[in-house]
Amino acid sequence: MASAAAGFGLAGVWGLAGAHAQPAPGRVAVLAEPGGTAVALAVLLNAGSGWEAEDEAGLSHLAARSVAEEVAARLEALDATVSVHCGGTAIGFTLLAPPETWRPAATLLLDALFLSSPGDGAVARARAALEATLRMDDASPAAHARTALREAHYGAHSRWARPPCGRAEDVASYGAGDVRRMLRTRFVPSRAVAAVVGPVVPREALDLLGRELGDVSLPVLLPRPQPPPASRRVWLTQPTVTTWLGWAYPFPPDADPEAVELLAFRIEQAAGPSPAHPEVYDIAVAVERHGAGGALLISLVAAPEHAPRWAARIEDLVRRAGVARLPENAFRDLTRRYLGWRLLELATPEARALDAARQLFFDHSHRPPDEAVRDLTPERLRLAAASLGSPAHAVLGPE
Amino acid sequence: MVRNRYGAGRAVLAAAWCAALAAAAPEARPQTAAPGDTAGPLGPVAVIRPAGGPLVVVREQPESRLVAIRVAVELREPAGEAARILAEVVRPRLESGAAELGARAAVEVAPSHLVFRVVGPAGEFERLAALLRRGLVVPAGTTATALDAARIQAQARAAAELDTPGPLLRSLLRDALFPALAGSQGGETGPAPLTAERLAQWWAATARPSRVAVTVAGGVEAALVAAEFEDWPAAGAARDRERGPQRPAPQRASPPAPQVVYRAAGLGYRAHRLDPAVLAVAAALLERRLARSGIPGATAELWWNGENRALVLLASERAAAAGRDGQAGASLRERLEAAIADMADRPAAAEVLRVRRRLVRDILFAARTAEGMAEVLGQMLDRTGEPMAAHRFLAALQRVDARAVVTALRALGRTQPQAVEVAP
Repeated sequence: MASAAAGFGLAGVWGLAGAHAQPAPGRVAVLAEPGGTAVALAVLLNAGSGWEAEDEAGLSHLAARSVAEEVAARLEALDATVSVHCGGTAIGFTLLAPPETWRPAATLLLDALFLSSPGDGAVARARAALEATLRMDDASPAAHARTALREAHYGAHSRWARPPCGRAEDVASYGAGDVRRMLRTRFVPSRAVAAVVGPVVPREALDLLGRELGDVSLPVLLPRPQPPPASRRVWLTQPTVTTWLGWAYPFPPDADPEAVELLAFRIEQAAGPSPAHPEVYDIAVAVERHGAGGALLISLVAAPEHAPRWAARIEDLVRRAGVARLPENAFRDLTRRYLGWRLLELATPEARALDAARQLFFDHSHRPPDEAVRDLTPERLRLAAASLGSPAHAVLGPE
Repeated sequence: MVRNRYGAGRAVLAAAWCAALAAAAPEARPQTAAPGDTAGPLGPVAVIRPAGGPLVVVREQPESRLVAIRVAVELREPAGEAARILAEVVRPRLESGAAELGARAAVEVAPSHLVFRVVGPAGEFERLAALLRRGLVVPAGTTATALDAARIQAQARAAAELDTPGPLLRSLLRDALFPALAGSQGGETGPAPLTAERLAQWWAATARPSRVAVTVAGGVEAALVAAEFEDWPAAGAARDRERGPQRPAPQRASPPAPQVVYRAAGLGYRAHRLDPAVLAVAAALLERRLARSGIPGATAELWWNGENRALVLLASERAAAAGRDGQAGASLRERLEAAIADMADRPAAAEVLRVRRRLVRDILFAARTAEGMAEVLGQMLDRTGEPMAAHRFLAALQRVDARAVVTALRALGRTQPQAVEVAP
């Protein structure tokens, strides 16, 4: 196991055989995996769409994409690639590089992020690509249903109700100056967390992150939605052949996020498409976190004639989960599947790096998934479900 | 095409390699890796032959919380009806059994192998191995109805694979390049109808330890893997039937009519005596050249398995219509042939260096998951019969220079390519 001493906050270092240090407050983590064949760096910035004023909606995503565009060719020369992740609370980058070039690649990305500005050409290319992507999304009923749910939960005029990745129309209106202003004000080292995963020397990785991020001992301050979320209901009528049902169950800041994640998995397993209920076409259950806790977001797509029955079924499923504990056997089966799902989700080093960065961002520490799952109990699952507030609800479907 | 597929969970060195067919694996395989073979970016592997068991190759990754198991069963003749039906019989049990353990399973019918994959928590390794051992049999109680259902699923899957021009073009070209290895449509068990009993006999004769290779990567110790695969697969009752009656070369059934909107053409150059690493670099260079010269979407691929090797170029008329190579009047085939000649005349040492670096990178990225590592090692093992083939290929790639590429391309340019075409 690698030494944790670094002179700046170290969240956790684990190496061979999954050994890991006791987590300590901080904003960086290095997960040394000597047998790996690639190195991943994840950076999360406390600059998601939840921070955006009305006249800068979608700008943080465009700024992040501009940075990625600025360095793409130079990263390519180092055989490295970078991806951007948008969200309400944070904007993220993941870098994937060969072990031989990860350090110059990481330095290149972090310098571009914190020390320089993208050129006009990079901004133009990023804007064109992002606009094209968002334009397709803007037209889909699925996107409308998601926005309807966010409006029901956060309120129609809340910045949190806007699509976290922006709208094409908004993105098209920004110039390079807007992007640089956003980068200077929000994309700063003090708002960043970072994690490195792969065959690295922990000391070298920590030195590099320390150089780029400076003092990482203080955690980031998470944004809180204003006004606080509420349990509104929104109905949208569109000429669709399916019905989208959405719920946003709020949970408080002291909720048990790992247990809420398990609950999300349980709902997805219980209500997802299967031969037993062919009228369900799709389900997505996600946990969105922010400074005031977060929300369990459920989206289910069903045949319109079955939608009312499924609406009642989902709400009953959540309600019962908060009342009665699962029997031990059922809980064991559930957690076995859940652990496998979590590990498969984290199969790549870039997924593990992003997961570690997210944990640092929200929880100021890092735990490997198997340890976190091992500590779950039927009672924790029940309490997590019981901690959920009244849901906001949105329906999009035909008349 | 040695193309990176590292976006998805399963690593694939080169999609087209799946279209190639394996030479017979040697019966006597090394029990341990040769000295010096274990170094390199893919890391050390343990090569074991458990008592009465298959060849087992293990890449221990102690820090990994996942384990991937890949079982490849070499078929005695190109995959036909029996292999496809067996895959459908086994698939649901394997998938549902894996799901109960929080794992994922897949079954693939490759031209020369049946491949079974599971990936899941390393802590479940013994159960996953048991699932594979139990799952890879024809259940004694398989009814005629169940067999019919599996047959229909197998036919639908095979038809779907040829429903679009790309796979059909590759299939036609593969048959043209390697006619002795053309896919069987008649069933390996002979002309009689396939019953559950006959399927079980065929499988018992096929899945013998000498024809099975198990590749494992992830958080598990090699000794444990070896113990799990001792005396497996059990010798079936059909040892004496290992070689079926000699039959004439199988005839391909007419493929389904694909959804062809544009004419597409393929050229295949047999390259049996050329170094696969050189061919891989040449293919990547050609693909870049084709894209730059105005045939976007055209692919250059290395098809390789054992001694069966070819460099293949594929393109559609739609892509070529947008061409900027000054050959608008030339046929698609002429333009593809010109690309080979052009590349052979213009070696670019710096570009060779870039391409070979990129190929190495793609393989390492593909191997960055336990599942990907097992796939990289297993695919190369299937192709060559050598447990360390992936390591050697990576090392060979790093030695390829411009002169070797030019020599190979000139040699190919002097041969007559196989040409196939699909049209609306």
